[in-house]
Amino acid sequence: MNFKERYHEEMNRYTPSAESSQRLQDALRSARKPKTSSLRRLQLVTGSVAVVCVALVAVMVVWQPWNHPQSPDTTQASSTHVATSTTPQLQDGGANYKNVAAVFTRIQQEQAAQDRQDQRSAIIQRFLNPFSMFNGSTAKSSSAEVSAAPETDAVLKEDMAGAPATSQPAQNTMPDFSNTNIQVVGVQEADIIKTDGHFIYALGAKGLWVISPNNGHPRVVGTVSFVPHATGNTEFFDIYLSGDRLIGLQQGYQGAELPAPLDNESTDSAGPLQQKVKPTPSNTPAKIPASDRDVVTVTSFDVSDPARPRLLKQISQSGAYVDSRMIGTKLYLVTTDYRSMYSYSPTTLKSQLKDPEKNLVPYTLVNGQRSTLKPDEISIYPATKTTDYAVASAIETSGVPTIISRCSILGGGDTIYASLDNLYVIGEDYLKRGATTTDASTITKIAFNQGNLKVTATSRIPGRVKDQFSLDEKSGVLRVVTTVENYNQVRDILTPTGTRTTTSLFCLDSHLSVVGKINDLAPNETVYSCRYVGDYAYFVTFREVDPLFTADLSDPAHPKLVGALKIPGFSEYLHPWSATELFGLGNTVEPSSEGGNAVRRSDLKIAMFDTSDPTDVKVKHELTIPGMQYSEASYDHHAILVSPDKGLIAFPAEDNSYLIYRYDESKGFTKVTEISLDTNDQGYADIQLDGSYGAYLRGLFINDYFYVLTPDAIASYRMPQFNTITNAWLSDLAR
Amino acid sequence: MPRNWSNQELQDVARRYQPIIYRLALSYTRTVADAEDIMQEVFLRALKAHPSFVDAQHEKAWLLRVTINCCKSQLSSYWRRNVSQLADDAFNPAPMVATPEVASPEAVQESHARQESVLGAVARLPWKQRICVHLFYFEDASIEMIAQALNMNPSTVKSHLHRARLALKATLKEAYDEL
Repeated sequence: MNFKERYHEEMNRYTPSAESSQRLQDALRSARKPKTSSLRRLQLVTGSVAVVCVALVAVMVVWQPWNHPQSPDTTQASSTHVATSTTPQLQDGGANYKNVAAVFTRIQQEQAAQDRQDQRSAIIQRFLNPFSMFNGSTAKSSSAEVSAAPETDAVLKEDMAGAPATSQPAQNTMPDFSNTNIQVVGVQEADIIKTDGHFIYALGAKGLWVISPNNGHPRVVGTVSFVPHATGNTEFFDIYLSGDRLIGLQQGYQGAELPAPLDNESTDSAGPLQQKVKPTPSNTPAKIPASDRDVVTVTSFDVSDPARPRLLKQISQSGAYVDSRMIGTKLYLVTTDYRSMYSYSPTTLKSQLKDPEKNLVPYTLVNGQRSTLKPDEISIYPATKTTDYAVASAIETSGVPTIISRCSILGGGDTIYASLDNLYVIGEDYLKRGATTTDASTITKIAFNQGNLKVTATSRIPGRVKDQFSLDEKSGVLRVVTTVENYNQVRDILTPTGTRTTTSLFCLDSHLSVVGKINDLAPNETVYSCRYVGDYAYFVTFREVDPLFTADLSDPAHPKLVGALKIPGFSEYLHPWSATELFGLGNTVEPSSEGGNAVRRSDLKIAMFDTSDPTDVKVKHELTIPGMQYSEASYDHHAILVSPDKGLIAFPAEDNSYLIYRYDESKGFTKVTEISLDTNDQGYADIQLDGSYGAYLRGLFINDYFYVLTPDAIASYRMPQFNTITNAWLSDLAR
Repeated sequence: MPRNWSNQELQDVARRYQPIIYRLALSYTRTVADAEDIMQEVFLRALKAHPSFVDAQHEKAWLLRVTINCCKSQLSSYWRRNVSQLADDAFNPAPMVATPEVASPEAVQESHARQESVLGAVARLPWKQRICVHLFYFEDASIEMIAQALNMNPSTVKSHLHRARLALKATLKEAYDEL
C-alpha cells in the first residue's frame, strides 16, 4: 500500500459526527431569508433590538467582563494597531531557559483561557442562532457595501524632478559567465545549478554532476554521490559554490541518529555516482536520544580538484529549511523549528519543562555532537502566539566548515530577505481588533556582523509580504510592500462577513520603527510582484488590470506614490534591465467564463517598461508568447536568466521547453530559439509533477557558449546564432 | 450563467461538501471538535455571502478557500484543545522511543516507520505543507487549485509539496517509497 492509499484509508476513518451534521442542517434550514413587508420589517427591527439587548445581557452574564482581565494578546494587538508598528523589547532565553519555559507555559495557559472563552461564545452562539436570519441579511448588504467601495484614486500627482532611477540590478559580477539570478549583488542564493566559469555543478537524480563546459563540448569530469544522511534522506535540494567549496543542502528528519561523524582528512569518501558510501566503523551514525525533529544538513566538499570532490564535513541544524544566503565564504542558514503545542499535551509539557534545554530548544549538530542554543542565543518575540523558532546560523565554509555563531527567534518566521549587512526574518502574525483580524507580519533584523549574528531589532507591521522581493534595504532604511487582508471571525455573527484586501508600503528605520508609509492602495487586489531600484519602488497588484505602481522613497519619512500605469494583464517578476528600463515577466488575461469583469490568466507575456520618468512609466516593448501560460520563472527567480550585457532573456516554460529572447532597445524582443528537452523516467524524483513548468531547467552561458541543463541532460549552443553543438544525456557524457 | 444558491441548494451543497470541508479542517486543526466547528462556520459564511458560482469546480475552490480562512482566523486558538480528541489516535505523534544501545540504526528506523501512521506523520508537518499534501493526495486537487485555495503561487505549493515529501519520505521510509 503506498502513501496515498494509506492516507486515504486513515483519513476516511474520520467523518463528521451525526450530531454535528444535524446541527449544520438545522442551522441552514432555520436560516431562511424572509420576504417582509415594511410593517413586518418594523416589527423585525424592534424585535432585533430586543434580541440584541437580550444577547448583550447574556454576553455580560456569561462572559463576566468585570471578572475577566484583558488578555495580554488583545492589549498588544490593539496598541500595535494604533501605532501601526511597535519595536518590542526582545528577551533572551533566561537562566536555565526560564523565559523559554515561560512562553510555553503562557501559551498553554492562554489556550486554556481561549478554551473557556470559546465555551462561553458557544453558549452565546447557540442562544443567538435561531435569529441568524437577521444576521444573514445584514451581512449581505454590508458585504455589498465593501465590494462597492470606490476605488481609491491611486495616482497622486506629484511634481517630480525627473531624476533618473539609479539602477542597481542583480547582474553578473563576472563578465564571462552567468551567475544564478539573485536579488542583491554580492548576496548569493542557493540553486540547483552553479558555475564558476570553469566547471558546472548540477544536481542530478542520484548525485551531483561535475561538468567541464569545454567550449560547447561538455564532458562529465566527476560525480559526487549524495552523502548518506543518517535520517535515510540523501537528496540535496540546492547547492552553493564558493571558491573551491561546494555545499549541498539537504532536508532530513532526525529520528534516532546523527549524520555520520566524518574524518576531515579522509580522501575517498566521494566516488562515482553509482558508488554508495558504505557505512564503516568510522562513519557509522552515532546514537543519540530519540527525538522527532526536522533537520537541515549542510554538506561541504572540497572541489579544488573538480574531478575528485572531497567530502569535508556535515553540519546540521534543527528545523525545516526556510532559506539561506551566502556572502563571501560565509553561509547563513535559516530554518524553522516547529514546536507546535500540539506535540505537548498538558502532562507532556509539564515533564518537558523539567529540562527545557533538552526538550524545548533548537540545536545544531556537528560531528555527532548536539549543541543546544544557549539562552543568550535565543530572542523571544514578545507576546508571541506560537512556540516555533526561526533559527539562523552563520557557517564559515573556507577551510573545514565551522559554525561561527547562531541565533534564534522564538516566535518564528518563514520568509527572509538579506542585504549585505542584515538578515531580515519575516513571520506571520495577526492583529485582532474586535471581530476583525488583520494579517500582520513580524520582522526581526539580524546583523550579519562578519558572521557574528546578532538580533538587533524587531517590529510588527500590518499585511503579509509576498516574497523576498517585497523587501529592500537602502542606506539603513528597510522598505516593505505588503498585502493587507482583513477578515472577520464568523463566530461573531453580528459582524458582517467579507474580506477586504489592500496594499501598503512601509519605510522602517534602522530600529525598525515605521517612519513613513502609504496605506490603502489597490482595494481588493493582491501584490503580484515588487522590485526596488534605487530610490524607487515598482510594484504590481492585480485583479482585473495590472497597475504598475511607482513610489518615490527618496525621503523615507514621506514615501510618495508617483505613478500608476494600468495595463491589461500582470507581471509576476520584475527585473531592472538598465538605468531607464525595467523588465517584467507575466501574463496577459482574457475574460473569464465567470462573466462580468472577471478575467483569467492567458498567455505568457514579456514586457520592457520605460522608467526614465518614474512619474510616467510607459510600456516600451512587449511580446506575447502564444500557447504558453506558465513559466517556473514567474515563481522562482532562479529559473530566469536576465543578462543586459548579452542582451539575453531566457527562461523555462511549459512542457519542458526553454525560451531564449534577445532584447534590443530599438527593435524590442525577438525570439532567438525555443528548446525542448526530454527527461527520462529515471530523472529527478519530482520531475513528473514539477517538470511541466520547467522547474528543473536552467540555462547559463560561459564565454560564447550557452548551456541548458536538466537533472540528466545537457544541450549546448554557440552564441549569438545559437547553433546546436551538443544535446546529450549526462550519463553518456560521463563515459 | 452564475447564480446564487437557494437555501435548499445550500443544504444539498452542505450535505455534499461536508466530508471535504471537515477533513480539510481536520487536517489543518488536527482536532475533531475544531474541525466540526469550522465546518459549521464555513456554511454559515456561505449562507451570509450567498456567492454565485459558474460550475462545481468554482464552487469547490471557493469552499476550500473559505475553509482555510476560517481555520486561519481560529489560528490563535486552533491548538487550544491540544490532543484531547485524538490523543490516543493517529494524530498523536509516536511516543518518544529511547534508543537501546544495542539496537542497530536500521532496526530503530524500521521500528519507527512501522509505528508511524501516515496521518500522524502528515499531522506533524507545518500547516501549509499539511494542507498541500491533503488537497493534493486526498482531494486530488491540481496545483493551481491548491494555490488558489491557499492564495499562494503554484510554485510555492510545489515547494511545500516537495518539502513535505522529503520529510514524509524520511519518516515513513518504505511506506512512502511506493508512492
